[in-house]
Amino acid sequence: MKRTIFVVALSIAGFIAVWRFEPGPVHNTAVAQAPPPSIVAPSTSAAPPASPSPSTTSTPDSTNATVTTQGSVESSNYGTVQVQVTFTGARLAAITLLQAPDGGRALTALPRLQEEAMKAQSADIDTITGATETSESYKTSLQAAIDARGNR
Amino acid sequence: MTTRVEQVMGLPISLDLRDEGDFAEIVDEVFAWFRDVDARFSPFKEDSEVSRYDRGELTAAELTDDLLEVLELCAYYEQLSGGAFRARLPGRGLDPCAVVKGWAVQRAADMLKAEGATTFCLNAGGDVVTAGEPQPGRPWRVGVRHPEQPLAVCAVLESRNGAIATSAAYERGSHIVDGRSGTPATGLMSVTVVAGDLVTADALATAAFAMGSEGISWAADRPDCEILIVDDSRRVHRTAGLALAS
Repeated sequence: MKRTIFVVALSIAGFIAVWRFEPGPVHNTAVAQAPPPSIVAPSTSAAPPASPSPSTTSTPDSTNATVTTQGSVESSNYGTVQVQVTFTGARLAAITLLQAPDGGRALTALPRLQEEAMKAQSADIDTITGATETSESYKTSLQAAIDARGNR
Repeated sequence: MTTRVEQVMGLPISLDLRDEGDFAEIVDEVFAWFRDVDARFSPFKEDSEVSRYDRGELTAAELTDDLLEVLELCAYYEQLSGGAFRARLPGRGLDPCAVVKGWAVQRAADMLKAEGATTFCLNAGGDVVTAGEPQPGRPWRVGVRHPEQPLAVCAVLESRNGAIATSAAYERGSHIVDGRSGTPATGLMSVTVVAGDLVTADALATAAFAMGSEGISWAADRPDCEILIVDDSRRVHRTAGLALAS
């Protein structure tokens, strides 16, 4: 559980850093998947910079149990944020923003590319947007694989 | 059901038509239309209407309605983007390709609908028009190519009746020029725009990409479109209404 708390705190810190970088506030709730905790969690056991007081719900104990943890409500210059973290077994499955700052553009800059890619892997795809502008690039493209597969 | 893939207008064009019935004739017409567009509007063909107009062999009064429409669209998006999007770059010939592609593919989709097709996905070089649902209750799932990994997607979008276009700099870099500076666009890796029609989606994606990082808020401020933009630092910018597949 200690590691979970640490990850939650790190996530909050990470989100706030992103807002500092791109100060346009967001007003929607975003879901971002995160890399496994082995990547996120630090190797040291130092105390987290901000200690959330998490409330946790979990399914019965097993290796693939799903555990959902809510972080505390944190305030920053850009508004109030609260995250919820879900684990499946040891794997960090999702980070959900329960509260995000209000107002401004309807645009979020929260997720990062690597996290987006993880989410997309399991989806069933009918077609691909993104240039396959030459016959050469088409041959080795996902779109070509989809075309070859035909209708299902 | 009909599927067809052809290389036309310099693009691989894939049609996945799920309606029952015989659509062979209209599908032939659609691909003939693409070949016709290529012959008339390619700046790389010396005898195309675009090339002849550019060399002064045709006056504006002699142009077809189709080319006039394309040129009007080019002018509109040039104005809207503050010159970042340009069909005529300094020192270069007239090149309306960025508008022609979306316009021609949307016209093809409208041709299919006019003949009774209700359920299809038409993809021209990564720009997509969808109609209906491939299965009852399930929209089309459109993967957004990962800007750094050719065989991965960085998001999956849901689409019923709509259009999705992506402008990006992949392995070989961008060919999109910022019309304000005349130099290759920088700042963004990939711009995906979802709109009701492909003319809008394609032109906004190209213009936003040309604008660079300014293009993020610029595209987000356009009404009636949703965006997914990956910037140079790999951040993903999305509008709230983007239909991400779950």
